[in-house]
Amino acid sequence: MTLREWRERINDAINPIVVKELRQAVRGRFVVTVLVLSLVSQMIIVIGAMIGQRLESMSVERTAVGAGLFMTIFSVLFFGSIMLVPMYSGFRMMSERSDSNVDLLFITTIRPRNVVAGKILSAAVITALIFSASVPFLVFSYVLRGIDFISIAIVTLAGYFFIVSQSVLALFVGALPASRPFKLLLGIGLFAISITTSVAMSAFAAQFIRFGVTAPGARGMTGGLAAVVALALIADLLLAFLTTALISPPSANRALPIRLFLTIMWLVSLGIAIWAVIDNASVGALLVWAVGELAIISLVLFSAIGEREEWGPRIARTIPRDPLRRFGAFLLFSGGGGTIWALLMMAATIATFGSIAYLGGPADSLNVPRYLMWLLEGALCIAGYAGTALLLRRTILTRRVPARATWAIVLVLFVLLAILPPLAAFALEDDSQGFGIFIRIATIPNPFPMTSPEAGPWIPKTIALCVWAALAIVVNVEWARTLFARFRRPNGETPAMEGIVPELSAEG
Amino acid sequence: MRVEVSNLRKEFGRTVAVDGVSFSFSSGEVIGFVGPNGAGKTTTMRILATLDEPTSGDAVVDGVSLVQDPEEARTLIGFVPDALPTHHDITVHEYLDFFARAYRIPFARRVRVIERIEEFTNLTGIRQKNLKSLSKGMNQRVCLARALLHDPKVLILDEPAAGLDPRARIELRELIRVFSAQGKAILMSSHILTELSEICTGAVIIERGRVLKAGNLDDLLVTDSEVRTIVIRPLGGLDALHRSLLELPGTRGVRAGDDELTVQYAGSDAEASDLLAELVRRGHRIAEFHQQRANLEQLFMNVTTGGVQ
Repeated sequence: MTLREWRERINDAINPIVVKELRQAVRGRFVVTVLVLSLVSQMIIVIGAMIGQRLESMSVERTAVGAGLFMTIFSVLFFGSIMLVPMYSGFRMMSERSDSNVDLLFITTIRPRNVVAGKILSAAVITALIFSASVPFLVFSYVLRGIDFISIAIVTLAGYFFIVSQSVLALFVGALPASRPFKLLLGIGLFAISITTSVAMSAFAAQFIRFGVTAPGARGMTGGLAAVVALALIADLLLAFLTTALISPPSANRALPIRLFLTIMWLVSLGIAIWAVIDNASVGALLVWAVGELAIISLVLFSAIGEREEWGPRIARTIPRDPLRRFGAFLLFSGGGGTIWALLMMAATIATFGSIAYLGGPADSLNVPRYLMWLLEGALCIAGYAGTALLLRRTILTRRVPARATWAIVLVLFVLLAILPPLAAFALEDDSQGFGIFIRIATIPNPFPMTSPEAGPWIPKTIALCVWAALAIVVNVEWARTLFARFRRPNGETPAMEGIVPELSAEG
Repeated sequence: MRVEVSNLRKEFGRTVAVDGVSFSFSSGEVIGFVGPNGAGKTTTMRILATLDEPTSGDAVVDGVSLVQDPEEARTLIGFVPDALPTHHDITVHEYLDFFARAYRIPFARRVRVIERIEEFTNLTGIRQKNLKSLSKGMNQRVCLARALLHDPKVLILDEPAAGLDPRARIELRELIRVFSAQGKAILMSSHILTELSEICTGAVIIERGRVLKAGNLDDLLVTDSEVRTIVIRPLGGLDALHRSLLELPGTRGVRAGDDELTVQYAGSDAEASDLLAELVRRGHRIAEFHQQRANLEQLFMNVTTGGVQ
C-alpha cells in the first residue's frame, strides 16, 4: 500500500464529528477565551510563586512550594476545564437534539454509536488540548521541589478522566428526549453535584501529593483510585450505550447493546468483587456489588415493563429461528422480554451473593444472613411493584396510560405504598421503644432496609413480600407467554405497500 | 423509483399536525406541496426526511420503509429544510466536507464530489467563507449543496425559494429542472404558487393536516374548471365580436381587454371549436384563440379555507 493510500485510509477512518467539532472548537471564541484565561492565570500563579519563593528566607519550608504551586495550578486548570468541556459538550448535544430543530447530522448515514463516540472523543481531545497547554506549568512545579513526577502524572490523569467522564454524563443529559428547560434543570443539578465531586477530587489530589506515591499507605490509595477509575469507566460506558440508544431510531433494537453490556459487566464486576473478597478477607465488596447490580437491574426492570409488545419488521427479521437462541434474543432484544431478563438477573445476583457469602466466603464481622435477607426483601418488593404496575397498565389503565409510561405507575404506587403509610405510621405511633407493629406493617412495601442488621429479620414481612412478588409474577405469566409466542421471525417477506397507495391521489 | 406516503399521522400532544396523509410520486416528477401556514407541510416533510417519526403510518422510498429502516432510507433522500444551518465557526467547504464524511464518501471521491457540487451550486467563490457570514440566498445554496452530496434519488425541499432574490429564484428553478431531468423525484413546498406552476408536474394541496387535492398538475387544473376561460384577440372589431359572443350559447361572461376578450365558456372541446367556426363565419377576423389554463393559485384558493391546526 502506498503512502497516499495509507493517508486516505486514515482520513476515512477519522470520525467526522471529531473533525468538525475540533475545527469549531479551535475557531470558537468560547474555547479560545477560556483557554487563554486559564493560561494567563496559571502564568500569574507561577510568577507569583517564583517571586514569593525568592522573597522567603531559607528557613521557610521550601519543600512545600512545588506541591502548593502544583495544587493551585491544577485547581485552576481542573475547575476551568470542568466549567468548559462538559458544558460545551452537553449544550451542543442539547441544541442538536432539540425537538424543534434536530440537526441534519442525524439524517446522514453516520451511525448513532459513531455520533456518540465522536462527541466523547471530541471532548477528550479538547480536554487534552487544554491540559497539554498547562503541562509546562504543572511540570514546572517539580523544579520547585515538594512533588514527584509520578504524583503529577497520576493526579493530572485522574483530573483529565474525571472531566471526560463529566462530558459523557453531559452528553447523556443533552440527548434525553425531554424539554429544554427540564434538561437545563437536570444539567444544573448534575453540575452542582459535579462541582462537589470536583472539590472531593481536589482534596484527594492534595492528599495524594502530600503522601506521594511511594509513601506508606499509598498502596491502599492506589487501590482505591483503581476501583474508582474502574467504576467510572463502567458508568461512562453505560452512559455511552444509553446515549446511543436515545439517538437511535425507535424501530432499532435499542435495548440489545445495553442488556448485553449489563450482562457482561455483571460478570466482570462479579469477578472483581470476588477478587476483592479474597484480597480483603471480607464479603463487603460482594455486598456492594450485589446492591449496585440490584439498583441497576431494578431500573432496567421498570423500563422493560413499558417496552414494546410487538416487533416491527426491522427487529423481527433478526429473531433467530432456533428455539433456544430465540429465547435468548427474547430476553436481550428491545421489548417486554427485558422484564424476564431483569427478574432472572435479580435472582442470579441474590443467589450468587448468598452462595459465595455462605459457602465460600471468609468469616468476617458482617451479618451475612441479615444482609442476604435485606437483598431478598428488596428484590421481592421491586418485583412486586413492577408486576403490579404492569398488571394495572394492561387492565384498568390500558386506555389512560401508554405502555411507555408504565414506570409512572410504579412511581405512583411507590408514593402510595412506600412513602405515605410509613409517614402516617410514624406520626401515629410512638417509636421511642423501637419499631411498633404499625410501623413494621407500614414499611413492608419499602424496598429499602428500615432496621439495623442486629434487629434480625421480621418473618411476616418476608412472607408478605414473597406472596406479593409471587402474585405479581403469576398474574403476568400469560402476558409474558403471549409475548414470547409473538416474538418470532415472520415466514414471508414484509408486505409491500404496492397497491395500497394510489398514485398522486388524495387520501386524507 | 417511487415514493409512497401512506396514512401518515403525526400528533404533538393533542394537536394532530398531520392526519392520514397519503400520496405518491416517482422519478423525474416535481411535486408542489402547497398549503396555508400550519397546514402540516413542514411536519410531513420532516417525517419524509427522517428527522421526525410519525405517530402512525409510513412512507416507502424505493421499497425502503422510513419507519423501519430510516438509516437505509437516508441514503436515498436529500433534504433542504426551511431553517438554514446554524453551525458556528465553520466554513462552507468544511461544512460540506463534514457532511460528505458523515455520508461516508471515501476520501478519493469526496474531494471530487465536493468540488463538483460547489461548482454546480455556484459556491466555489465563497467556499472559504464562514457559514454565519452568508446571506440567506447563499445559505440556501449551501443547504442544497449539502443535500446533493450523496446523490440522493429523492429531494425534499421545504420552502427553498423563500427569501431569495429574483436571480437566485431563477437559478434555483433551473437547478430543479436539471435534477428532474436527472431522474430525481422532487417534493417541494412553496408559497409562490405561480413559480411552482412553472416547474411542477404535480401538486399536493394540504390543509389542517389533510390532503385536499393531489394529482398530476394538468389533470388537477383541467378537471377542477367546469367553465373554461378562452382568450380571443381579433384583428379589429372588438365591440362587434363582444356582441356576437354574448348572443352565442355557452357564453357565461365576456371581459374586454385592450385588444382582446376573455370569455367564460361552458362547453366541450368540440363546442369550443364550433364557437371559433361560428365567429369566423360571422366575419370576425380572429388573430388568436386559446384556452387559458386555470392556475395553481386559483385551484389553491378554490380548495382551501385558510384554516390551521
